[in-house]
Amino acid sequence: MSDFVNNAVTGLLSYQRTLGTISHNIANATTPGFSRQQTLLSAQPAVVRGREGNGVQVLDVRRHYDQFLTLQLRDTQALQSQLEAFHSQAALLDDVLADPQGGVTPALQAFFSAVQELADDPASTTARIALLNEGDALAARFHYLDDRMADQATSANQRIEGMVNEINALARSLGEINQDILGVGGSRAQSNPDLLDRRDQTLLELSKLVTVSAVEQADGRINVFIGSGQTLVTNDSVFTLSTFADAADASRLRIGYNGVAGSGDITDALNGGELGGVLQYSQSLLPEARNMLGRVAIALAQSFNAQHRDGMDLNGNLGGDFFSVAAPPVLGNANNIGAATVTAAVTDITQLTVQDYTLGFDGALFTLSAADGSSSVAAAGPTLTLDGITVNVAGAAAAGDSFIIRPTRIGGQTLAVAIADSDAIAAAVPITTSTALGNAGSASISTGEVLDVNDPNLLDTITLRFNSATDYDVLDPNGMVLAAAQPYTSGANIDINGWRVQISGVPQAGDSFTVQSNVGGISDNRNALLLGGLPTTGIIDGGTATYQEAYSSLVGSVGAQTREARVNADAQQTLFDSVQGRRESVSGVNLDEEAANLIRFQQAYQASARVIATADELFQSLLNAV
Amino acid sequence: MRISTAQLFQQSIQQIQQRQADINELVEKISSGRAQLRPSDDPFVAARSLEMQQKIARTDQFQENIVLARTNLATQDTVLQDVNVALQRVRELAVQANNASLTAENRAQIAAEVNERISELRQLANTVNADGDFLYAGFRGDTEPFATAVVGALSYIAYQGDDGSRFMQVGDKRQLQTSEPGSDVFQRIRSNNALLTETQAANLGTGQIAPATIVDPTRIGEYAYTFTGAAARNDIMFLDDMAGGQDGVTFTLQGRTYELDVGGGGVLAGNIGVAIAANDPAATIAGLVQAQLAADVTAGDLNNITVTAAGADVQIMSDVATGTTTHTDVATVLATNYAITPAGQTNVSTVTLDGVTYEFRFDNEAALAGNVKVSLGALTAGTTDDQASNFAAAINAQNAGGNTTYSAVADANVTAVQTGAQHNYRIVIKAGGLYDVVDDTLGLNVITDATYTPGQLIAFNGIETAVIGTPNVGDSFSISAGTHQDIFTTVATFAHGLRDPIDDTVTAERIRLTLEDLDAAIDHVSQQQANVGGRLNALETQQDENAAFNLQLRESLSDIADLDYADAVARLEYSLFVLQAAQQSFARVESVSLFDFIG
Repeated sequence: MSDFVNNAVTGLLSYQRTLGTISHNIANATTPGFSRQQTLLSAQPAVVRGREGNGVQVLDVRRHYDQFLTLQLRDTQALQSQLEAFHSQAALLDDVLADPQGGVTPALQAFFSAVQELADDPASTTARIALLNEGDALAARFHYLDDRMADQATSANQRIEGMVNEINALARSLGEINQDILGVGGSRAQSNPDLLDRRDQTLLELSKLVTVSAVEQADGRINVFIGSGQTLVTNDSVFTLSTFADAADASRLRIGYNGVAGSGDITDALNGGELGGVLQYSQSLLPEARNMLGRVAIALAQSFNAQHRDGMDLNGNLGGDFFSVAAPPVLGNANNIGAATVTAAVTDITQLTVQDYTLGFDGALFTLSAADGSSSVAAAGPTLTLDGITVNVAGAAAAGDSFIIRPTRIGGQTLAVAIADSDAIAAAVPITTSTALGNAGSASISTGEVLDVNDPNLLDTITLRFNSATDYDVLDPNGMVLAAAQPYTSGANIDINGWRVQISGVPQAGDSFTVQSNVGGISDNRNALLLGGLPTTGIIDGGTATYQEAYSSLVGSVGAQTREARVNADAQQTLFDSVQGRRESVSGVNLDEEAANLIRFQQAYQASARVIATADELFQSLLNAV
Repeated sequence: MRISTAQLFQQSIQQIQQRQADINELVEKISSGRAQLRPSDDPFVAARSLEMQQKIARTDQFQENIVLARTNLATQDTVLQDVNVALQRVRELAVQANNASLTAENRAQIAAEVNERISELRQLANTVNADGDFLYAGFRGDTEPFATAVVGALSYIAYQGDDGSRFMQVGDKRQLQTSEPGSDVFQRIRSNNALLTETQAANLGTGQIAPATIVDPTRIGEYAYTFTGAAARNDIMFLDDMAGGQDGVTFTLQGRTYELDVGGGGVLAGNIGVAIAANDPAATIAGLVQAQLAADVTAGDLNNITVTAAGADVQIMSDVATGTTTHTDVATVLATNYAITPAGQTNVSTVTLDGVTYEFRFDNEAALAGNVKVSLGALTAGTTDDQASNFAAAINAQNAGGNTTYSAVADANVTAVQTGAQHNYRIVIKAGGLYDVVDDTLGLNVITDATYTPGQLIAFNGIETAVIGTPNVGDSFSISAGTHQDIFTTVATFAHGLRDPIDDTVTAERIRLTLEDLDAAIDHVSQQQANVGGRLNALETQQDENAAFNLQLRESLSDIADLDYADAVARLEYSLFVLQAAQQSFARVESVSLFDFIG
């Protein structure tokens, strides 16, 4: 009889353990990373052959988990959080450009409307001051957008620093978990399911930040590798990451690995996770967007200035620069040893790309190349020209020196109106043409345009006097013949002293036309009309894109990349959810299941107790029988 | 498949959150009215709609420009209408003045009103537009375009503006002219009666010439042929005709060749004979020539020629500087200072008279066989000589004892005055404070050695002008037939004529020319008005085009960028419905737990 009492007792004890496991499962039903546990029971075989067994025994407490799913979850997590991080960053930029009333477009339009209004009334001080104000507003709009992008660059750097700290903290946790696993002394991986869950969960959290690979050792400890195989955690040794400023560009953060053999730059080897996403954003989309914005600003400044310089202001002076924009910054690598000074300038706005450029020196040749490798040029110096930028090297460079040139990066930030005096707006063309009152022929002269404003004789009074209907003399201000008997073709270009006119119609001998300085021509709006025509002129991208189109392509490009990031992130999320679901399906706690088990094991427990009671009854019956 | 409880929660929550996000976005769209909230919603549409917005704003600006342009053009239309009315009034006055019965007083009254009209026209030409700039000053909007300039004795209205004309941008590719320079509106009016004065560009002094006025149109193009010459060189011989012979001495005026027909010898076909009796005294010949020319003028064969005899003697000039009078043979040879050619040359000058060829030879040369030698003296290279007397002697010798007689005629001259087309004149400053007025068309002086006083009236051939400043010796100022005359000169010349009448003929001629010029001016101003009207029409059309373009753009923009409310609201309804369903099912699912049944 003691046998089955014993058996019943093993049942009671085992079911207590089992119920304990169930209660543990129920308690951890919402604990992240928790794998449901199961108490493994097995029958105790009979000691003597032919006898009944010795009840039940608890073999082990196991967690339900799938090594493959855990691994897959980590991988999908790394990719999902990378895409999500990239998307959330891109969405911020997307939001900055979202408001159609807040972008460059309305300011650009308001500015050129002011140009039109100047053309409508070129002598009006009101129109002139309005143009200066709209110019300031336009510059401010560029500054605003650029500031938002600069803020994002700063906050991306802060996030990178934060994440590197987090990675270090998680790595330390893993090191401690390794020690704990060793401390529990379990020789087998499943010795402490909760510790292993914590280990896996920590690894998953690490994967959320950056892609890592982990190798589990026989004793349940893991070694974690990062980047291109650098050890992050091995046994109880933990190595750390750190951030430092890029030698080539102090505004850019690099990530260093502090290993046994010293520290090294592993930025380019890092991918995946939020860190990968933020790095990708801050190194590609964000600078590209700033460059695109800067390019619009530089194109505007340079082309507007060029036309403005061809004009004449209210005081009779030739136009100066209307806008100013800083020269492209050149960043010397902190490790440069030569004494060369490099300067860069945008010399052809139509060729300008949104690329950054690198200038390297190999001891003999300088090589200027676009960051994406799309173009490059090599020369001994001192001047290299590529994609509309001209780079000038002064002083001696040493082999290995390098420089980063960002032709368009600070365009949006530094655009400003260069003139303060509204009278200095050049609405007029410097020359004016006139027809002699006594002309008998029907020929007329065009109003003239400026080809080369720097011609020293531009403003000289030049008379074109016809000797016959087919030829004319060119006379200087003193009536001296500069060029005699020039053949006349109706409507042909006549280019003299940096200006161009056309005479068309039928002149008669003795007819004359005069081209002279337009000083005092305060009602002349010809240059204002030309300035007003700029926004519909293809200027950027080889003369195919207007200012607005270039800005639109910034909005379109950011939008498209954000959209792509969202689609990718959504797709990855679905995949992640599915893997997560599968993992949950294996390891998750189902309360109904636990409830059922609770009932089941409660009943089993009650049954075992009933066996003891039965034994007691048997015993009582026996006693009563005695 | 096994489902964990947390997963069940998670999935339901996710569903609900997703629906809520959808609803949030829809609500945002509905409240903003935009189909896309951020560029990433549809990058293409985002870029495209920015460009369309820009186009719309640009076109709106063009519409504003059109309103301004219309104001400007409407002002011009009004001004031109007023100018037209003023010119019509002046025309009426001109017709009134063209009446011989008017007294000087009547004419002065008319002149007074014409002067009023001149000020009115000037005020109109100096109209200021809405922006405070002069309408007709070209690019010099702050300069009064038509100001009174005074040059000594003359005052006139001078244009201070330039030839600039303004355009406004009224469409994407369309600029419309919205201003005309005053020079085009008030000055460039075709006229046959215009004079153009120019200070020569090469002048070194500061002299400036004023515009010239025709005060006596009956003297337009007046010039005189004065046949004179140095007696030593230009003596001429009229030969008596031999029987059946012709002397062949001719001169040509206005395309007609006159031949002195001495002794009824006969005239070459096509020539007009001036009959001269053989051995007639010189005075008779002069009278006969004069009478013949006068008869031709009267008969209308010769225009506007007056022939006057200057003294008793007649001399036909053989120095044919003007080219209008030619003498045959003798005169041509004698007029030419010819180069000496060596012996044996064939281009020796010869003259044939009465079938005898006279050959001009140096003393050491012999004439060709059959020719009569006229001795030129010793051979000296470069010698030029006048050998009229030698020639006469040679003819004498030839005819000595023959039946032909001749007589040499003493000095005489013919003056012919012609008027017609305007000539070009030049005032040339000479040393000693003197000046000449040269008729450049004829190469003759009209005024010689007059004393230059700055600003003093210079009058000749019905023209008045003045020069001010200090010209250098050699400086010149030209007065030539112009092609255009400004409105002010036309009207002022008219007023001038009324105030200072020369005689009735002149006055009538002046009024005739004034009417001609006024008609041209009225035509011109009407044409200008028509131009302005045309531009106003073009503006109208452009405005409609812009409006249509903008409407189309706005529609397209609305199509791509504006929210379809019906669709959005329907989707919102649907999302709300789904959310509700998700919430309800969540509540139902989560409310059922096995634990509820335990115990």
